[in-house]
Amino acid sequence: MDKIKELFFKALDWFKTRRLGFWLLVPVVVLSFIVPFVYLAGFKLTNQFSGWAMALPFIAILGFVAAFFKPTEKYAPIIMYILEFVSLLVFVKTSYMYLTTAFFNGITGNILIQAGFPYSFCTIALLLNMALCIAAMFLKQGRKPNSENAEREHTPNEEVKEAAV
Amino acid sequence: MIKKVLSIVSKVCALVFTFAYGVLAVGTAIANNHVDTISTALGQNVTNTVYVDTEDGDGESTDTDYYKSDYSSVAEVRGAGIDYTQRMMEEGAVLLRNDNNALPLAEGTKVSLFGVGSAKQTISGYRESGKSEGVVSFKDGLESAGLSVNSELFDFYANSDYGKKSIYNNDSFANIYTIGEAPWNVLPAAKTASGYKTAIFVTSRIAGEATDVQLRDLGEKSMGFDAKDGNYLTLSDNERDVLSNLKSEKAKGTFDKIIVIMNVTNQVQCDFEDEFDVDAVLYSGSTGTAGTKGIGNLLTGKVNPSGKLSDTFWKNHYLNPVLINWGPKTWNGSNQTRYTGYGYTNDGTPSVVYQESIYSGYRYTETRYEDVVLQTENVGAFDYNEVVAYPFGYGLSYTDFSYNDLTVNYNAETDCYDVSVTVKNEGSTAGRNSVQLFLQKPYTVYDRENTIEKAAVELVDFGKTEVLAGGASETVNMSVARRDLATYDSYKEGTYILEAGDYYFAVGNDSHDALNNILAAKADGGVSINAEKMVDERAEKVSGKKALAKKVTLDDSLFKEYSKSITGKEIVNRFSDADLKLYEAAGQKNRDAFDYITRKNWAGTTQFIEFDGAGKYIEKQVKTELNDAMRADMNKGVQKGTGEMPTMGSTSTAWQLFDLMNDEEGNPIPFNHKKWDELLDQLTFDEMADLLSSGYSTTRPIESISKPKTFDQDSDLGVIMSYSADGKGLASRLADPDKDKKPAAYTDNGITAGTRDKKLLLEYGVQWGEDCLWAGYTGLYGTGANIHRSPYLGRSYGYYSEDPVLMGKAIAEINKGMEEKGAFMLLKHCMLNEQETSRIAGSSWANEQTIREVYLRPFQIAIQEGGVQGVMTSLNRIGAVAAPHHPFLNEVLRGEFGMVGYCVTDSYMPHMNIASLLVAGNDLPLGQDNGLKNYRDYPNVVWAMRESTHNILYSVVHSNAMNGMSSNTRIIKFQPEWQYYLELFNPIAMAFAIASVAFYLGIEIWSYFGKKKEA
Repeated sequence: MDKIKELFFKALDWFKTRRLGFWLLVPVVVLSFIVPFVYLAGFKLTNQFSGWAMALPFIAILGFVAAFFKPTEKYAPIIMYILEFVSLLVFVKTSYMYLTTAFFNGITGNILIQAGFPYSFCTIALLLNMALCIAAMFLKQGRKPNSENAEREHTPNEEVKEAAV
Repeated sequence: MIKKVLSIVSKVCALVFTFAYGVLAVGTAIANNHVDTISTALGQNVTNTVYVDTEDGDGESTDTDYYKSDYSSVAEVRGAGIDYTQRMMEEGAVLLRNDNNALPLAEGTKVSLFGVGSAKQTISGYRESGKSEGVVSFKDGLESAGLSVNSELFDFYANSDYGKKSIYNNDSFANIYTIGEAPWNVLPAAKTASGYKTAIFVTSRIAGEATDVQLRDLGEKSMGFDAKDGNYLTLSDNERDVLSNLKSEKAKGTFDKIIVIMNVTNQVQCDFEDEFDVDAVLYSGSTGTAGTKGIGNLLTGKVNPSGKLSDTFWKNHYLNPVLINWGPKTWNGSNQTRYTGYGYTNDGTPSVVYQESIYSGYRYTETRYEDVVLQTENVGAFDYNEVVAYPFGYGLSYTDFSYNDLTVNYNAETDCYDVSVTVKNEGSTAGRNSVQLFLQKPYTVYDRENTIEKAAVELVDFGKTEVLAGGASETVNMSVARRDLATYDSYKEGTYILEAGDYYFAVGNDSHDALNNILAAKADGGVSINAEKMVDERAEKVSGKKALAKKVTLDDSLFKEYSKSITGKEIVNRFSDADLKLYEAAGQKNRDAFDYITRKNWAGTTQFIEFDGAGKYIEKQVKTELNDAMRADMNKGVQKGTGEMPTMGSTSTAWQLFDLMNDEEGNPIPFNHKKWDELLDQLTFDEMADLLSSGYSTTRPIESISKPKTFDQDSDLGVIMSYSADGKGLASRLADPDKDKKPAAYTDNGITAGTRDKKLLLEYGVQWGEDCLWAGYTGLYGTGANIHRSPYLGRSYGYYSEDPVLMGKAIAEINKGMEEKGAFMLLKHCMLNEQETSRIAGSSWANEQTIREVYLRPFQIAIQEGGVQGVMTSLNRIGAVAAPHHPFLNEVLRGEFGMVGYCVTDSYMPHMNIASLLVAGNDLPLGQDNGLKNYRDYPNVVWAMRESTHNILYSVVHSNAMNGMSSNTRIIKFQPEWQYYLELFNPIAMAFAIASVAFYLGIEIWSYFGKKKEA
């Protein structure tokens, strides 16, 4: 139990060292998880469905793993950006014909709304993810943990220890 | 510091260049899928024609203009087109009322034009209204006929802000217009100018593709929509205000007469004439370029009106039973679709049930009327004069005509009834008469027992006299195939049957008059009728003329005589999957959801538009549910077939397409000639796939057989683009100074059909063909052959009639004319596309009798009598199956009707699939789909590709696309300029992307080693 507690507080410490660059990737992960399901629901019965457009966001989530290791943390947003971008390109390439329905009566300013929720959501989510990854690329992922503070905080109180004994 | 800056710069460069390259690469891939579309849009060529000396060639001096124009300049051909807009108006506009001999007006009469439409007229549908150059205004048109028009009043309307305005406020073709009438109190004092004793009120409406007009308030009022109670097809408050004041002024003596001109794409309900003391009403439809000159000539009697209505004109649209299962349901505000129509209750997919069966238009009004007169059971409350203002086929003249000596003789040689009638001009004014022949089939016990419906009267043929002077006569001959007396039995025999019983052929001034004549003949034959109930359209009691109805009695020996088509193919049910009562996958719930309207029980099966006490619309449409089995049918793809592949890439012959034009005697080589097999054997899979993957207003060239690229025009009303639009026609080749002009804006197709003049229709078709020659078009995605199922249909102006026979025969003549100039029709939209609302991928449900006898019939007649070569399939589903995927294309259009030519889809949509459409008999997507490569080893698909290629090549080789081709010409394909530049920029962009990434990586590596060194 103590070991779990220790691990927990260690992880907490580690998360406390995370900077904005890291946290910007969290919504990217969340959206990357949701997008494939929305895409599947909206396009599975159409000719515009592509397995890659569905898989790439999931792979981008795996790219987030790089953010947990010091040597690779600064490359995590780059990896995720590349995967989100390629996912967007594949999505556009396979589903652009879907827009013929929305654009059939002419192109207006309400394009994304008229295109229907799955298309709008996927497009906006992927673009947002790309933007967040780009921002994360230029921001720090983390800082060095303050180890003395961490020990003082999380070492059991000496008096309590003595009392326990 | 430098490293940090370089790191940021390298990151930015890598981002920018890789993003740019990614977008360019995908954009190029997409663009390469649409080479033809983009090239056509940019006006760039993809092929060139070169002359090649060959030993056995025809030589350079051969005349290769197989289809020649009768004109020598754009000015001439355009001028001729403009003249036709005048002529069609003169022959097709309909005089609906002429009390107190209000018309004709004497030359020099001073008239005041009221109504904003008098100065801002409806020329055509709003998509075709772009052809507005040189349009003759009402003022100029009437003055050209010798009338004197109140200029001050006209100028007020022309310069005011009043008028039709789009409330959707965009430039697309899915607009909604206000009526925009000016109220009486804003009109200048000139409105009652002395001496101007004739008031002409012009009521104007416009509609067009993509949006049906409103029949009730769907919330647009808040956007400024000004139709009374949201109903676009009734007079607005301001229109009523003006007419009311005209009536008052007439009572005071300011005006002698009030004339109304209906300049409308859709019929405004005719419930106002008595209320406002209107003396005369002329229905003109949209005017086209010079139709107002025709109107002027009609008003002054220079031309005696002879047009007949192509639709029933309703007194109260809400008494039309079609409307509860038609059209818009909700307004979606800024949503592009604007209206969502009715759909499945458990799914957003649109769904419309043709619950009225065959009983739309006059098939409803006249049949129910007959049943009132015959006092049949369950006829319910029906007052003909409350429902109908002017029946189908109605139209007055400035003289009176009588019909005599109606004879009907069966010609065994032709298997036709030859019908003749003598028309006499009983008056003193010369004029023409449109003769309409109607038929009544017996409504039998068998029909009642087997859910077969019969209309009381149907148009079967028509003709027109020449100009008859007062007292002169002419015999008009018409012909009806005996097989046209057959009825479709959907539920028992599953084919056409010709029942025993009494059939009546009748003539009359209109459908109602003909029916009264039949009733008189029936009564004379002992049938019990309530003669008191026989009325005309003005509620006057009539007795009918039995001499103008001839009975033909058939026995039961002919019962299955016409169960085979003219091609010899067995006719069986092909549309059971479109009838919820027969479609197995529909399930019991859908089957039980409704009853078709039936003549057995009008009262129990007919419903109308209704609002509750609070003014809320009561939803009564048939409610359907989409189940999994239906969804499976919607998404069924093509399974791989078995069997051998066709021969491809053969080198045993080396035919060019030109060699398949004519034989040595100069006769066209027939479709099934073995030479076609040899030519098709030469083509490779890739060549066929290339041809069939893209049909966006074009058919692609095939280099190996020198098939030229063709250009097609998408329009219901002939050519609407400029004569130079595609750069290929005579106008461009001759560098005509007027080549950038557009052809005339042609009149409403309802007016065209209203002429009832086959000779004129043929000439009109030749004019359309001339426009195609000068503009370089071979195929016309048109004309429109959908039924006017509802008066609120947005595309009414582009279709012809509520009657399939009138429409089919009119189109047949126009097509024959077009083909004289080497152009051909791809008739649209096939089929069950009778509303614009939710037309994309929506399900249309109807029973087989309704489909065959009403909605498919115009296509059938146009193909069989006019030689129409192909169709454009519709955007909707026929039942659950996308129209382009439905097997009726091969089984019915080709198999039964004998159509020879190709089919194209409407705009290629996500619910369509290239392999499915080819296998069904559709030949081209109106768009692009490069998926055929995935079916390379599907024998069924490859055979379908071969057939489609055959269909396309056959049409092309017998068209004006072959002008300029000979045995010495070859087609060379080359890359269009835009594609060249795209392919040039791609590697450059890639190089930049790679370099920028290398730059970034280089900086990263330098930093890494730098940090390591410091450490």
